[in-house]
Amino acid sequence: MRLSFIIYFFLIMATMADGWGIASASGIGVAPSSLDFTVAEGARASRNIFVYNTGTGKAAFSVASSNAEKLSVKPEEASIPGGGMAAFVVTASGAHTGESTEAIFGWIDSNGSGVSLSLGTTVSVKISVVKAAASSANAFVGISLSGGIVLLGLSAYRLARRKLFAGNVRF
Amino acid sequence: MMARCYFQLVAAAAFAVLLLVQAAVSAASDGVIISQVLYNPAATDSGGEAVELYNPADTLVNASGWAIATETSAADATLPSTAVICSRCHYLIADAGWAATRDNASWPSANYEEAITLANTDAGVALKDAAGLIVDAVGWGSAAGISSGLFEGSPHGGSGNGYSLVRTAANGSYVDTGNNSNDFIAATPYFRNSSQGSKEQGNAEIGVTIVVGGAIPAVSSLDVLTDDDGLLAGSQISPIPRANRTVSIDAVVSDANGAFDIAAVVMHFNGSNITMAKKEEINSTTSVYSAAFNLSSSFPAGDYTITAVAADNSGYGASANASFEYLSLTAVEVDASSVVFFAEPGATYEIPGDQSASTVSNITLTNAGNVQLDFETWSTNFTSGSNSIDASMLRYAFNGNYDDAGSAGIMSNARTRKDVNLKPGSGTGLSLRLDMPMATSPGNYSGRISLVAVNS
Repeated sequence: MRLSFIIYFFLIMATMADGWGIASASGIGVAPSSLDFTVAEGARASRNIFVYNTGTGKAAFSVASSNAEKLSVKPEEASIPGGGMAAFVVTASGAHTGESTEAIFGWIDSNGSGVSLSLGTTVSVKISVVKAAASSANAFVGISLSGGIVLLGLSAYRLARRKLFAGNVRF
Repeated sequence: MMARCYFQLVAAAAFAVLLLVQAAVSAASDGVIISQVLYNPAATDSGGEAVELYNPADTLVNASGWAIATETSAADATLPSTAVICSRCHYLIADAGWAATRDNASWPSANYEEAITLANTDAGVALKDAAGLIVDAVGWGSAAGISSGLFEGSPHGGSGNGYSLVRTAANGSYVDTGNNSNDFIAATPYFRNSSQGSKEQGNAEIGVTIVVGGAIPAVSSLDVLTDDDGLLAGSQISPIPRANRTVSIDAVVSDANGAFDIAAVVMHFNGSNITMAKKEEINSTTSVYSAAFNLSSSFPAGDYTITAVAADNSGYGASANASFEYLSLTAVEVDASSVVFFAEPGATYEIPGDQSASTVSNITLTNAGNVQLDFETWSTNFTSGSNSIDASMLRYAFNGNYDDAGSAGIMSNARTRKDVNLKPGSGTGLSLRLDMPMATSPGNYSGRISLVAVNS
C-alpha cells in the first residue's frame, strides 16, 4: 500500500519531551566566546565560562574539551532551568612550551526521539605555555653544582700532577 | 571615550581670601622720594651704583630736568626730557654701565643711566627738581662729613659692601619722617624700574600671605560592583542572552568642606551621563554614591571605561575612572518545535526555513549574543533497526539557496563549517531537503543533526 512506503522522520528539538508535542524554543549561550591563556610551563591557569539556557524549559547541558591533556572543564554537565545560567571552570595546563589552539564545546543534550537536532556552541581557546622563571633555589643548586664540578676538576688535575711528578722521580 | 579633564589643582578661592600685608605706620608725602640707594656695590662701583625713586602720588610726575646731586656734583646726573614717573611707580637711575656691570644680572635695567659717583663714606645723594629745589635726600655716615642738603635729619649709619639703603615701609606705604636714620635700613638690594608693578614697597620685600579657604572634592574610589569571574582580577561582566545586564557602580566621594558640599556626582559611560545617587554617608566629609545601567546582550564585547565626576557647590570637581570587560557571548536559539518528513522512496521532501520565530514548523536560527556567528554542521546516518539512510541524503541551506556553497551543503558525518555571518540580533532560516533513496525500507528512522554556533 502507498502508506506503507511512507517514512516518517521526526525532527525534534532537543528540549522537546518525547512524542509529538510542540517543543518550546531552545537555545544556548556561552560567554566568553574565546579564551586566551598564558601559562608557565608546569603550571595551570583557570577561568570561568558561563553557559546560558535561553529556552523556557529546564534542559541538560554538557561541556567538553577538545584536548583533555591541555584543557579541562568542570563540571562536565549541568541541568539549567529556562533562562538560567551555570558557570564552568576551564583549566589550561602548561605541559610543554609553545602555543596551541583548542576548544570547549557546549551542548544542549538531546533527549528527543526520532531525528533530533542538537544545538551547541564553541569556545575557542588559545593556550600559550611559556618557560617558568628560574627560582632562586634552582639558581643556587645550579651554581653549587657548577662550583662542585670545577673543584672536582681541579682536585683531579692536582692529583694527576703529583702522580706524574712522583713518577719522574722514580724514573 | 569620554575622558573628561576637570579643574584639578590650581586651587582658586573657594571661600575667604585673607591678605596679610606687613607694615606699620606713616604716610609718605605726595612728593617723589628716594626709595633706595646702592652706593657700595659688591662688584665694581663704576656701573654698579644706583638710586631708585618712587612716586607715591596718584598722578604722574614729569621729572624732566631733575637732577641727582652728590658729593661730586650738584647735578651728577640730569634726567632726560622723557623722564616721567608714573603714579605709584619706581624710577631707576644708575651709573653708566649698569646694564653690563650691576651686581646681579637679574636686577632690572635702569630707566636712565649716566655716570654718577657715590662715595662710600660720609656722603649723600639728593633729588632736585628742575628748579633746583631739593625733593628728597639720603645721607650715610657722619653728618659732619656730608655736604648740606644731601641728607635729612640724621644720616643713616651706612650699609655694608653689596647692601643698599632701603626706605622702610609700613601699611603699604613708604616711611618718610624726614630723618634718614629712621627711614632707611641696610638691606639686600631689590630694584624696580618704571615697568615693574610693585608699588609702595619698602624694604625690598613685602610678605604676602594668601590663605585659600575651602577644598575641592575628591573621588577616592570608583568600583564596578558587578563581576562575574572571581578567578580574574578586574571586573568581567557576562551578557545575558536576550536580556539586559545591569552594571552597578559605587563611587566614594569626599570633600573637606563637608559631604553637604558635594553638589552632584555624574557617571559618564559610552556617551551617556547618569547622575549617581547618594547611597550612604560614611562620615561628615565622605559619602558613597551609586548608579546602575543596563547593557543589552548585543552590546559589543570589549574593555570599557567609566568616569565619575564629582562637583561641589563652588563648581570645582574631581574625577576617577574604572574599567570593566564586557564579555563576548556566543548564543543561538532555534524556534522549531518539531519537523516531520513524510517521504516516499525516490521522492524529495523539503522543510523550508524562515526568519519568523513564530512559525515553529519552519526552522529559524537567531543570534542572541554579541558576536557574529558561523555554523558547523554534521549529522549521523539515520537508522531504523538494521536499515540506514546515509546523512548525505539530507541537504541544508542557511539562506534558502541550496546552490550557495558558502552557506549551503550536503550533510555528512564530518564537521563542515559554513560562513553564515549571522549578525547579533538577527535571524536566518535553516532549510532542509531530504532526497529519499529508491530502495529505502519503510520505518521510523532516527538520528541526530548537529548545529554548532561559532564566533565568526
